Amino acid sequence: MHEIDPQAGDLKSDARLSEALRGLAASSGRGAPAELGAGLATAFRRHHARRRLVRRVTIGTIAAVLAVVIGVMSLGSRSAHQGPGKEIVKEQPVIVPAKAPERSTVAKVVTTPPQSAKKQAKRKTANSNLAAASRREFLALPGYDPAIPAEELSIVRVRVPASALWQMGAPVSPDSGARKFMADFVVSQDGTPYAVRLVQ
Amino acid sequence: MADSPLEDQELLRQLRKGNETAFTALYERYQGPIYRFALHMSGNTATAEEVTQEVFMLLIGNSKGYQPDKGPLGNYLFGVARNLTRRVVQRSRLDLPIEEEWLDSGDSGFTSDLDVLSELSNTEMLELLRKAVLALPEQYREVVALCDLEEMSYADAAALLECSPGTVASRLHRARAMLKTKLSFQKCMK
Repeated sequence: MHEIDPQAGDLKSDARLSEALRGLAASSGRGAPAELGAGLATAFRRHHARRRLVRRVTIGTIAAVLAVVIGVMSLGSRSAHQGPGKEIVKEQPVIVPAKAPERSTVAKVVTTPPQSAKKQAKRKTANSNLAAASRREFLALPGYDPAIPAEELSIVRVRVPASALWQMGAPVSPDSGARKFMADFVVSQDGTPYAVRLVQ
Repeated sequence: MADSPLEDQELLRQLRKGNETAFTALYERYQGPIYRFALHMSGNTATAEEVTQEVFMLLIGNSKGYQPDKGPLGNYLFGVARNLTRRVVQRSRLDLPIEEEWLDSGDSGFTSDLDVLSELSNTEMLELLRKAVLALPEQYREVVALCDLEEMSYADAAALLECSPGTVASRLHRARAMLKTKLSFQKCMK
């Protein structure tokens, strides 16, 4: 009688199983199909192309924002430095040719009232009006002579009827009738008006 | 697997910069083991392809998900493949494990005789074995796929499966016993 050793049988079957498993591993192929690799390579290229684009756009946006911020900041600081100078320039009368006005319509000059606290306040208001008015343009009158030096000219604020202003070419309605307007006149030392602008 | 972790790190660094050659090198290095692992776990080539694609798409889109201090890149990729395969298999209801209780009760009757393998043709034997591996419960199928079919070391498999090497050895021993039982049982059925 031939006796079977159970341990030897176990080892034998283990060896057979290992051999069979190796065979199974070998039969499983080398890996994924080539199309899968090609598809993944394409996906990789697309992903990084998109990533590069996003990075460029982001950097461009940041650069643009920085440029705008720096520009705004430099403009702000420049205007802070040049603020008073601009005011001086604005104070200069601007002479603009106007259409045929008549010279005979210069009205009375507004006289300066006596000094008092109340009137000083009014004066301040008038000064602010003058400053505002100074920003508007002057209309040249026919007697304007560019050769006259600016030092010989002065500005006089007067109240004149609307009809007179209209005749001078100022932008008022002729229907305003007897209504009076405050206006600034550029006059020479001998009192000849060269330009006018409306205050009110 | 993961024979050159330093080189893997360098390739990964290049991959993040958009170097396609680095991506190709990593793909060539890991696609085979990952594909075969997914194939042995699912028994389905479509699933294996899907899992392989997902693993490498993750590497392309979110390579920073891998943390070098937690282990080699290969283990990380296998971990991702393992989770994906599990999800796909559950979704497709392909997981039909042998009842462990049945195996316990029938173990002694079949384990000593695997002559059936020598009696079958090579193709029949491989088909029988493939079915037997697929019929193993997941935790046993994993160790067979990793250690027997992919020839991964116990230590690497343990790191991947987040258990000790002793547990891997124990599971593998049990898995082999189950395979022998299954194959002997099929011999009796013939």
